[in-house]
Amino acid sequence: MTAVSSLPLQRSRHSRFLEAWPPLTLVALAWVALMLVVALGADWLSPFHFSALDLRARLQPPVGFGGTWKHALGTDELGRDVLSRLIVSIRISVLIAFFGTLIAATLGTTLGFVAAHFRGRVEWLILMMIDFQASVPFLIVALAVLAFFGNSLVLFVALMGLNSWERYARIARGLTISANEQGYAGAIRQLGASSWRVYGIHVLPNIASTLIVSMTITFPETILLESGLSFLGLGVQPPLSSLGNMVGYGREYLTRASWILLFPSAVIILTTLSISIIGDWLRDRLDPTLR
Amino acid sequence: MSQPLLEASQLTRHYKVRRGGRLFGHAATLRAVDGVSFTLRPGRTLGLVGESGCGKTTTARLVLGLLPLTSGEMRLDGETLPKAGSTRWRELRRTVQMVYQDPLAALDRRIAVGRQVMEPLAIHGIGTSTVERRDKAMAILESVGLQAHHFVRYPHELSGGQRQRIVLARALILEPRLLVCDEPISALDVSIQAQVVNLLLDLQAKMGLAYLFISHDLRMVRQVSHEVAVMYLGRIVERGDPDRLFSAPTHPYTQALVSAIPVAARQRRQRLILKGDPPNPVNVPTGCAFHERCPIAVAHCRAETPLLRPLADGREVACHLAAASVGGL
Repeated sequence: MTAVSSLPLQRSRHSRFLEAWPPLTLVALAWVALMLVVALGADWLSPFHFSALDLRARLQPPVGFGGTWKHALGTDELGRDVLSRLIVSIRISVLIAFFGTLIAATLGTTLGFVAAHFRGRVEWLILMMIDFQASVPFLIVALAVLAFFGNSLVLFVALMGLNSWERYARIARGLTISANEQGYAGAIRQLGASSWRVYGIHVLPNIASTLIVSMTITFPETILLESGLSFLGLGVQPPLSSLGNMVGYGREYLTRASWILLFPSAVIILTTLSISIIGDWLRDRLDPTLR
Repeated sequence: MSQPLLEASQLTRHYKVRRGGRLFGHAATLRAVDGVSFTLRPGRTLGLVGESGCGKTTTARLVLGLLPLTSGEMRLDGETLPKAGSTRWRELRRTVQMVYQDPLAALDRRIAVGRQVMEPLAIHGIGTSTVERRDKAMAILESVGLQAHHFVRYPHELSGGQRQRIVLARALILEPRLLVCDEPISALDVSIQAQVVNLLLDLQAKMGLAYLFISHDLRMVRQVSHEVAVMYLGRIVERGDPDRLFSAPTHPYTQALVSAIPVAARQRRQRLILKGDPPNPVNVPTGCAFHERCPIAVAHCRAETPLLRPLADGREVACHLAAASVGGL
């Protein structure tokens, strides 16, 4: 009796697991986890130092295309190991994109809440800043800042954090105003709750799904912006390398040694795609009404 | 007679607006609520009726202190209502609570309803342990007719009536003395309306609550109220005992409202259908605000604003003609 009844139960448990953790999401999570492991353990994982030259083995193709296992992903024009450079690039790019996105989300959401809470002149000022940010090409601002203050990794990360905060600010402000005007936030406030409670416990979790989806859009954008700036020579400075930096310099050897460019490009695509998939999944998972 | 719980005297709420919509449009004043006075005693219900846009909800928000008064005074237990958001105002939430028209909008969709019912206790620091608060929330859920298993549900998993009970439970857990009900039943099915109204009546009998009951469902208002005030364009035009007011309305506007109550009987009855829309509250007609739509208006109505005057039977009415006709009897 128990053997018979346990079978459908197990099957439903299995399908329930698949429903909660779709295979594509698992793959995406695994990829992002791999990226994090690579970023954290870059020093131990890379077979060579990322700037070590091997002039006798320049432009060597990867394994499977006539290369050797010594340089599994080939070498670049100076004989530097592509795999080692890729690992270090992943660390730098993930660091910049992660902290850049985090700074942008925190700053934008906070300013959005402040605008929605105080209204009036404070809101005008913040809206003006948002419009300014949205209307000036960020690349120009970044160029100006980097030209004036020189380049350091900390400054660069902070600059990436200023990139798309206005999007979070707009979302947070709009959703908070609508929640305040009528509905749950007004009701909680009416119960005598402090503003901290209203925003922290009620409004933030309710608008988090929108913000998270927005974060999964800005994260790839930050990687691409970093690539663009590095390509212009204003981002990560050689010999240090980032994914965009590698793509930028690999471009010159596109026809002769495409692997220099293709591997970092593939990493950019897979990482951004994975994060989008995870963002979608998180949004559904964070919303109890869709469960 | 007991001490009044709520005294509202000459409440006004005006909004500055620009007419014409252009940059240089001249400033104008929108009189949402224009000199409303009433008192409410513990355990009593004041029904507030009127058509959309007449200032019912604004009055409710003024009573709660959610909107600042343009002029007038609101006293709760003899104490002037402090500014919204101040510490004292937050403390007073334990005395005055609100029930909303749309319970789904008033609840946080992401939090189990039980925790939402417990939340006011945490806000006001009542009860020390979570267990104690949970027990209290369970008890209050039971008193509004819900079961323990509803505790872990989310708002979207409940029916409209159950949601409204949750909103009620959340308001009642603070043991308030005044409950402002802003159209509490208009979003519910007819069968559930009766349940919620009966629940409100039971709770009033049990806990001695006072209600400010806002609705446009005149029959419900008649059923629950001890006193009814009819509003038109931000002013009270007639006030009194619900049975007398609805069986023999004196103000022409109340007559029109009452004649619009649907009846099951087949008998044909004279329906008073008002012409036109209510005037724009930015541009209130001179004299009696109702004279443009009033079937019996005379020249005098255009010139002088009628004040709320008591009639012989204890009712109050703001109409030159009604006061004259009844006064002459």
